[in-house]
Amino acid sequence: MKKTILIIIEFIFVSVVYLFAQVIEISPLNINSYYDDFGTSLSNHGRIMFFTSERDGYQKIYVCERTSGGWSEPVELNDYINSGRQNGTIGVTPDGQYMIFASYKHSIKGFGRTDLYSAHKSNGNWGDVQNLGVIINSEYWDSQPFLSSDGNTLYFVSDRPGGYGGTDIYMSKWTGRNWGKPVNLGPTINTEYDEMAPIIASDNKTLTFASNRPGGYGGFDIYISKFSSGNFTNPQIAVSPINSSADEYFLYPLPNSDYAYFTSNRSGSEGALDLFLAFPNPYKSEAVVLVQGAVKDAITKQPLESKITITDLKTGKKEADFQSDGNTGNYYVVLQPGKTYSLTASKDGYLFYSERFEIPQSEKGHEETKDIYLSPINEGNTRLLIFFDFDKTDLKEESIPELERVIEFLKENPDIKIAIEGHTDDVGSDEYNITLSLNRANTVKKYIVDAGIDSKRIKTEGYGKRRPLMQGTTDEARSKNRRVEMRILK
Amino acid sequence: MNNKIILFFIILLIITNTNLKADEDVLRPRGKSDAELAYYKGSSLPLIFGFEAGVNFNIFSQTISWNPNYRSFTIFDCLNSGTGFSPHFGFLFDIPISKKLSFQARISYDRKSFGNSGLGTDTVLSYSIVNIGVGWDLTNDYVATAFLLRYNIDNNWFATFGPTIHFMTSNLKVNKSGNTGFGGISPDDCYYYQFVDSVFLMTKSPTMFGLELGFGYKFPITQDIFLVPQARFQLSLSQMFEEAGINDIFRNVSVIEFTKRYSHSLQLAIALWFNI
Repeated sequence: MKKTILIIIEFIFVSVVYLFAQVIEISPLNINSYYDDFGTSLSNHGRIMFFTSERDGYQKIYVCERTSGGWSEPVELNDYINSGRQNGTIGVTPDGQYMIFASYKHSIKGFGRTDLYSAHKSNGNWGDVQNLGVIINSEYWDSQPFLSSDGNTLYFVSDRPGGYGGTDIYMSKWTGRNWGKPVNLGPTINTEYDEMAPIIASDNKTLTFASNRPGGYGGFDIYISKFSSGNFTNPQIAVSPINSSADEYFLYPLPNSDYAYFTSNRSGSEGALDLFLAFPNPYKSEAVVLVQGAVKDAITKQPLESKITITDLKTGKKEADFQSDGNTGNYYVVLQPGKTYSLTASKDGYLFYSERFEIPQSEKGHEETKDIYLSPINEGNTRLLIFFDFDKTDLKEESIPELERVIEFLKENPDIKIAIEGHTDDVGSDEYNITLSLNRANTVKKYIVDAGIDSKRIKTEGYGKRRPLMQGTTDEARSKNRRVEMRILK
Repeated sequence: MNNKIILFFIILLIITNTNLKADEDVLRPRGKSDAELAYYKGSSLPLIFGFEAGVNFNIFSQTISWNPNYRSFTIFDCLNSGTGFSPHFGFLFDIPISKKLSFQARISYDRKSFGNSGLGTDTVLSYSIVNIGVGWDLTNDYVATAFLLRYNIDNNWFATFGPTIHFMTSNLKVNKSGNTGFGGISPDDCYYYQFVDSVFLMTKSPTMFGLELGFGYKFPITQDIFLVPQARFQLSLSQMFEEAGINDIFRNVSVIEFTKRYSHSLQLAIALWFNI
């Protein structure tokens, strides 16, 4: 009797679970071919897709664009990229201007078998292809690179000795000048079997990879691990129908979305390995903020290829260092919420642009547009630099990246002279405020001169409360008026 | 000597299989598996041999004009056009040029049959007019060659286009039948009835040139064998029969002229293609 009741309860439980379980829909992409198509990597906030295909007899990198009617006809990347015997598996930055890819027998000689290469996009064309060098590449098989959304961490796969067996996943950090020594992700991720196809989601925490370790659905299966407290958690196998008895690789969760792309050689599409879309993705990454915009000439409104740096003002860490597209001026960057950032854009012949902005923790999962207009360097052009606390002249820690940018600008333009103009809010007498504003300007000048800039190139002026940036006596107006600006003199 | 030949083939087999062993690629550090190699072997520009059989729907037409100085009869009206079904079968080679394009040569036995029937008028002893029912059908056998470009629209659909040449194999047969409806008058008594078959038999062209446009679909049966239904239209650019006439032998004047004598075909075929 007891057994019967238990069976009935179990049956009811299973039925309820089944009823409320989300059905994951799997659909093949319209760009699949009869041949291998695999390894998606997306840029421009999911609008541009790079993938590898063997439709031309050899593995090559293709790109296509999302349109209202699906993905556009894939276009082969140029021969600077696809000059190896086999080329593919791409890690691309969110702005779509920098990529790392793998190539076997590339025209640029490598260090062994399949190696990793980097390429930049300039004026709409991919070029500047370089081998990633001996620190990353080995004489063994090094492939399947993927870049974190800030472009500062590289994941890749290698069968070099010293791993846990088969192919292992490795990680390398960008040091500011080159890629650091690769580190094996360790036994939590890697096993004696093959681990490959690593993808780090835009939250830089959700890692998906493929493994043929026992206990899966068959062949290669997709696993998910989270980066937490400095370590990756034990991998969890993705459920069916994402995994199947066929091979599955490269699960790519779209940022702020319920969709994920993956690769499989299951039946139901064109043949061999194909690209599929899963919805809803049960392994969503944490929400991020997708910032985008265009850099343009402030006068002609023509798009500009500009260097853009985003700095976490609290830590001073460069969160992203990239450039806008030379043809469209567009840029795309993924930012984590709960931080205050400084965005600077610069280009030769133009006065740099800077903006401080805060993304509260609550503002997850949205897109933000920030267009940037750069003014040609002309006498009289003014750039807002930093803000001060009430009645204070000392520099805030968060002002430093901005002043470093001024120093860089003056070093790049040795003939330029500037005026540093101090301002105050409306509290206090004129005389007091003029002195306070001049002191603020002098503080800034000292910082710049201490960095090696000739003091003769910098004039300081104190305007007190005469030139408010914002009219009014609110706290907001007053805080905006306590500032220092830079004006081009020559 | 025989041992040397066997050894040569063994070495050739080893070399061939060694070449099939894939290099590493960006996904597979140890290269493709045997199953993947087999799949790619099936998809990598294979030479195709195939044979096929099918049916023609033949459409024949000609222009018949009477000399206005002569009294005309309508016995030949049913010779203006003819339709009919006939078989064809043959074999082909398909040589890949690229993934999208290949050259296809086809040789086939191709029968063209068509006929028609109708009521008309004829003359008996040059002065009385009789109504006559006439039926005719014609069978002509050819060895047909086609030299085609095959364009792969996708992995299954394809289109073919190219010239065809038909060589006649001298088996032209024409059957005719007639009925005047009058017990006393045989069709053979009618003057023009005697020409119903001879206007074909005496004027056949040994070769026909044409163009073919076709579409087909490859159903994979196995990795290397495909069932391929096709539909194609064969447009004849040259006449099936030479232009001919019936003369008034006393005045040496043409009474009737048969011109523009073309035979086109809609061809349906089912083929088996083998990747070799």
